[in-house]
Amino acid sequence: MRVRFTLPGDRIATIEEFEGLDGVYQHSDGMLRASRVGKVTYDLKQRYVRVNGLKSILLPKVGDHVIGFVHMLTSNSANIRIVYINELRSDARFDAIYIGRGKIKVQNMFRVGDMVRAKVASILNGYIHVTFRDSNLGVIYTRCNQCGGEVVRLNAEEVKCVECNAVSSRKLAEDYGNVNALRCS
Amino acid sequence: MSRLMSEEGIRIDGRRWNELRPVRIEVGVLKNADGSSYIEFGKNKIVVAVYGPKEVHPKHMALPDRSVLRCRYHMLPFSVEERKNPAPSRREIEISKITREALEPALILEDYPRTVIDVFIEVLQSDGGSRCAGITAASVALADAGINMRDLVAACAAGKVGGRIVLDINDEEDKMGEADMPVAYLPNLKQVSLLQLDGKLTADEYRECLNLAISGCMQVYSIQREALMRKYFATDKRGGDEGGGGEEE
Repeated sequence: MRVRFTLPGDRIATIEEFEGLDGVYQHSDGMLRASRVGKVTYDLKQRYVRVNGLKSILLPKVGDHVIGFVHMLTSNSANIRIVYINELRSDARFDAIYIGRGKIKVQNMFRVGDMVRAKVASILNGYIHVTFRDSNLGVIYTRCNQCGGEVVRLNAEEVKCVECNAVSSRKLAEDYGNVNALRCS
Repeated sequence: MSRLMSEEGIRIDGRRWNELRPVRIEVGVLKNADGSSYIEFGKNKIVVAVYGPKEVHPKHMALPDRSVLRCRYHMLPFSVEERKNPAPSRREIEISKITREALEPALILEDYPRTVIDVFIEVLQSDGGSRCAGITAASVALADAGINMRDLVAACAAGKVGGRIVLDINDEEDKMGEADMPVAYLPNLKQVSLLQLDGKLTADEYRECLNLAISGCMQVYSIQREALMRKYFATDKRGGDEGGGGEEE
């Protein structure tokens, strides 16, 4: 392996020599060129070349775990504002949508303001669709929707307010109440 | 000879016909932006901030197959001799548009579908050629933001002053000269992404002016490279064992 620094547009190799991976594009002149500021890594055995960027751009992809808060609820869908993608902070304010199918009542799963962990299921028609079909997915932080007080977990689907004793339903993640669930970079 | 050019070929600010004004670029000057840069191009002082790729609002503007590039060129009220109304003027709207069109060929927008990239160009002090300086700084700020690009974009103007083709015309030469030709250029790909012409030139003068502007762009490009290398690879300005890439002429 050998390493060097590049800026966008720099020639890295010819298409006969290497196959370009991340941070590399093929120009019509038959050259592989860098597409970002970074360090070029040549794999002389596999004949791959990539540019490891010094800044990473986070875009949600299918299969990614995201953390966000519910900012809109309708009878069968929830909009989630993403704040972490794979535990890395994202300031891009991406919105994801969850659509409850069949007998699922979305309003029994979350309330507006809940912090949730979800998995990106698909990206269709410009919308990021998420799923909660896993035990580690669901609400990771919530407050009482009657008085705003602290709540404790009763079971996987209910929380109870420690101040007004109101019981309300949620789809809780299995690590709900564990502070480590909220610890992200 | 005219007031703008002496008999020895010295211009009103003391430069020769093929000389650039002093250019200084700094990268990453703003903490809260994803990418940023500051440029001093003669007496021009410009700050550029880049945000994104991020969610598009309003959502109907999002494109399913690529990112949307939005540019705003804005002159601050104190950037000119007489206070300027901070509302976007006809000229600023035009320069915002041509800046976007000059930068778009250099960006690989297909890598970021359904998102938007915002570029804010704020002119703190203006001295002619601010659109070229803005494009140059915006290109560096986009690279600083980590956005995939085919090449950097370097911009420089040439023009006709006192009957002679000169490089990088300043405010006074712009107002009283015969022609002004801003050019934005992708130096590695050898592509022109912006060419405007205000004034009259013969076919030969046009060719000479374009070639001179491109040579100015190459000088600006070397300053852009140096600024990015200084920010990211301070110990190794010309790159690693291969000499930092770039094109051999």
